[in-house]
Amino acid sequence: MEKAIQSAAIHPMHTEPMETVRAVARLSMLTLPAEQEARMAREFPAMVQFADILTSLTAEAPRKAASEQAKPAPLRPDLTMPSLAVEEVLMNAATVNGAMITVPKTFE
Amino acid sequence: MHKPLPALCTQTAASLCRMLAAGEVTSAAIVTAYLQATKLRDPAVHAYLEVFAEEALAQAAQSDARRKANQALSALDGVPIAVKDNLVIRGHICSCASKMLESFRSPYDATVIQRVRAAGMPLLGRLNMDEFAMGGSTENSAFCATRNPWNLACVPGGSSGGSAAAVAAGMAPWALGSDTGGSVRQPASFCGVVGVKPAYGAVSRYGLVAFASSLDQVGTLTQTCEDAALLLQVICGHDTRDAISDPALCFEPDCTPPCGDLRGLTLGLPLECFDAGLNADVRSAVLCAVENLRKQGAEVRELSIPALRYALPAYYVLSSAEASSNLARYDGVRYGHRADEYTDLDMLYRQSRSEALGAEVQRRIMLGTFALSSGYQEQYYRKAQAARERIRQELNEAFSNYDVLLSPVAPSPAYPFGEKSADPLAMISGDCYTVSANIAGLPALSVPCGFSGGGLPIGLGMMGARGGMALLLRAATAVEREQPESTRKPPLTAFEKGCAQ
Repeated sequence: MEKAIQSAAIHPMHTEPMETVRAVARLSMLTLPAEQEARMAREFPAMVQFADILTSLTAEAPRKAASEQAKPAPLRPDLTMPSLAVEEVLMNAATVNGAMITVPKTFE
Repeated sequence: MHKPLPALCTQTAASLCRMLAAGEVTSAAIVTAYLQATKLRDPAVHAYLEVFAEEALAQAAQSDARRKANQALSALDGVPIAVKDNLVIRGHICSCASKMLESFRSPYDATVIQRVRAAGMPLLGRLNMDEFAMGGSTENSAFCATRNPWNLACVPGGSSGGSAAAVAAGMAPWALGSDTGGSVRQPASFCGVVGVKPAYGAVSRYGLVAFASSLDQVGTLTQTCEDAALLLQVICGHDTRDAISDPALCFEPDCTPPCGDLRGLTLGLPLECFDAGLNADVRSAVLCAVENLRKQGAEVRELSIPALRYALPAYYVLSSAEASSNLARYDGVRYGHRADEYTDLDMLYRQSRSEALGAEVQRRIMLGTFALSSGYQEQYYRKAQAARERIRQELNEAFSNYDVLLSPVAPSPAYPFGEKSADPLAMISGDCYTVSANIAGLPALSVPCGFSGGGLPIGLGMMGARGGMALLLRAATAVEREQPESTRKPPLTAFEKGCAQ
């Protein structure tokens, strides 16, 4: 975590584990209850430190060889397929109105 | 007080196939026996999230009618199967053991489900797992913890813990699971069954709920290697709906020599897999199995694969990064849990995700987000990719000299509930011997090779070259042959003791 803290000085991430946890939770679209936030602040440094062994690796991630880049991706045949029935499409929507998914009402 | 299993539930799946072909038993009788066994044992084990009793019996009746008309769809027609709850089945809930998808009903079948249906196999039900396949003990299920049939006070492993426990307890002749970092092989080792992770691209992932897409693979949990070979023949095969499906990897079991004949095979023992952290019982059982393989004609040599030291941190970073991306789709808008109270869109996302995703899933999403953030991507994610390439290269090099690599599956046998759940790093270190196969996309398996002093099963890990699935099963059969058949199922006393506790 030391490395992470040092780097945090040149990064929007904050230096305190609690602030790092809050920043990462925000980026992850999560709201942690206080208890879980405190637990994560305790665990997060160890989790990041565990991954620090990777920094001792001198090699760089390999670039794809030109021949590999040129290899065409496998494509599916251009076939039209029958659509699912409307009721099946809507089966998992939280709220529907007739044959439409209702988008949640929000105030921006 | 627990009762003995119905007699049919002690048969291997291969043996049930033979009995069906000979007309000695009906599919309806087999399915009924498994439903009875589940009724007897699942209240103690909690392997199933849902049993499809009526549907399985109806499918069994259709199978019996086909057999009667000499129109069996395959040799496996009528032998039922149970499925991990992250493979979608048309019309059924697929929850991934998460509150997020608790009421998600799939409008389509996964390719592997289409294949087992096409083979005529009735579906017994949905099996418990760690939420979104994140965990190694099945304690992370949002609904219940599955127990190890060999000792109900211990975990069954994970994340396919429900699949392994159901097969071990005689509640399914075989089951499907998924393996992102060892999630088939580790529970197989803990529960004394055979767990196979095929090579990446051998089995379609279409309809497998994504955790870490560059590592995920559908696998099998079976009683024997012969059962595994039969089931792999059904589920392996090219699928245009999975972009990484590889037509070159269709599975043909290697039955040329007497299966299990090891003459001419060179087996490697990576020194990095026998470090100081390895439990003494596991070390002893694994080395004893290796010695037996040597006696059966295999050449066994030690080797070093230095890049394996990077395997676990690389896996942790890559799988978390991919999870943070894959699970971003659960936002409460189109499907899945939606929070009741919110004032804006941002709050809707946050509340829905925070209310419905469990602590371990949230932890991994956050680590993945951190590893992908602009300030740390170079330091962690890019380095993990470099480590992945190094591991791949060193393993490919090893397979130019060795046919199969041997290792423990897990550093210890099954452990009591709660022992590791408070320490996420202790939990993930249980994957240290299995993740390299996922990182390199290679086939690997766990085969029972002995027991701990406490009577818990121990598995031997085997990894092969990309096209080496058949060879792996051939070697695993030789290990299996050394294990007394009587030790294949947990004794009844395990259930009685467990209930007393």
